[in-house]
Amino acid sequence: MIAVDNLWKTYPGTTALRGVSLGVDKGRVVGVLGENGSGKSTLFKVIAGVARASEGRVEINGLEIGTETRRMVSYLPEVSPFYDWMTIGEQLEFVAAFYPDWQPEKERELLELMRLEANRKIGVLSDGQKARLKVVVAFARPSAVVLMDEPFGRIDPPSRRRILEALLREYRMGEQTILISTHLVDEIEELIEEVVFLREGEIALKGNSNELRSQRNQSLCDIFEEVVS
Amino acid sequence: MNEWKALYLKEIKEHRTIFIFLLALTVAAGFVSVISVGWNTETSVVSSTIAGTPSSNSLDWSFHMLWAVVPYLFVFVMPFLLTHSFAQEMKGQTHYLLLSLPVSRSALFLSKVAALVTVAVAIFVLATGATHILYLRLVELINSNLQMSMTRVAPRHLWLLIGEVYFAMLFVFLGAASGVAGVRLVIKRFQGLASAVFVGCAFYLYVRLLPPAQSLLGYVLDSYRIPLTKADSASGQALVLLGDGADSISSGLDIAAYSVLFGTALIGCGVFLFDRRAEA
Repeated sequence: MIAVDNLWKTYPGTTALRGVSLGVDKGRVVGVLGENGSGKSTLFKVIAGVARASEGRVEINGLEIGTETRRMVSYLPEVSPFYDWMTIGEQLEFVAAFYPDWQPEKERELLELMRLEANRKIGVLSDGQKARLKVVVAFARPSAVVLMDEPFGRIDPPSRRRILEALLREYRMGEQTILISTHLVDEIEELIEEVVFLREGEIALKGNSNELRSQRNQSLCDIFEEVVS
Repeated sequence: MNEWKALYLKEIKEHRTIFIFLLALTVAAGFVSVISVGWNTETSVVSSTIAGTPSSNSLDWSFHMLWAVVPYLFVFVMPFLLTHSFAQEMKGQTHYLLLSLPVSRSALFLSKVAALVTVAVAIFVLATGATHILYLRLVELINSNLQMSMTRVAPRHLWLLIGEVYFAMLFVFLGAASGVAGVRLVIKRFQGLASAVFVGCAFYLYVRLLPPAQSLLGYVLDSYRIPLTKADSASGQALVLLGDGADSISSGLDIAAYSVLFGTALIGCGVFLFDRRAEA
């Protein structure tokens, strides 16, 4: 489903990714874990097609990153990418225009689940509400790949719980591939099937999360501490 | 098509406050310029009647005429609005959303240009509509009060002459702003200096290419000349405003077409750089 081969990404004065290679099968939930600056967000940006690889190849379903792959991907960046001057309804209408598979019924259902009102201005929403809106955008259509970059960062526990509920409810097992990056490993430990630990732009460890847990007799949280630090 | 429409409408809505402000100012300026012109019998010149009676100060005439010119100056605002629009996307981090959409980078760029061109067209129509009325009033006042036949251009040619200058400037300015937006994606340091150098080079190129482009386009376009007509053939006198006694003037279409093409090429440069270098 997703093939990353020797991916390098350099910015002026820094190298964010150093020869990252990984393959993700269809329908898997992959946790991408690492400290700040380890390259998690950059990896997601390149897969989502909002940043370009300096070197190496990234493919989704055999297609190089471009307009076609962006159609398959729901990308939730770490920041709020929404227009403050729009209402929630206007923002969703704007995004829906680009996806023929957008499901208005699902949108309404998710808005209710996330306790968001369509007529509220985005500019007045809290960080938690904006994070919940990202979930609505991600799951209001049956995208093949969902990239969630720090979906629980800087938000309150109730919002975190709601997002997790939505994730468990909306995830189409076996059909949808989810890559999720977070510091809060324990929150999603049970959800993750595969795990990739990044350290300074390189893969420090990757594998099946159950196998890693049983091999090391540690929780993912402990492995994270050990590998990343 | 739906995608282009969504992007275009987003741009219009995003800048609606400034757009409405510019359009309202255009209508107000046109209105003031049209209602303020009258005939002063004391000084025998067209004069301001804004206070109800004709002013004895003939300078007032010039002053109120300036209101008709003001909306055309908004063409200078357009490049700043374009660069501001790109800067706002970065500042608000909304470029993350835009760049992740399944649409070409060119569409993202051109939707911004299209929104500004739309507003520029609306300003042109409103402003030139007012200028048209003002022009007819001036001709009528001069002809009726001085009993003379004023040599003039037909109103449709007035639209053409103003439109040429206006859209030539609009496209060159938008082109320069597009190029600057592209250059800022390529050069990360000394962006102000790089932008100034780009604008300087673009201006130099524009001037250098003008003579050959004029001779090339002149073959096709300069043959069209704008005829000067007389309003009142009964009178023996004629006040020739334009053309130094000639019965037609150059349309200037060659320069206008060159400017629009040059500006479009610069917009193309901006689109090219944005397509290849824009990223979050």
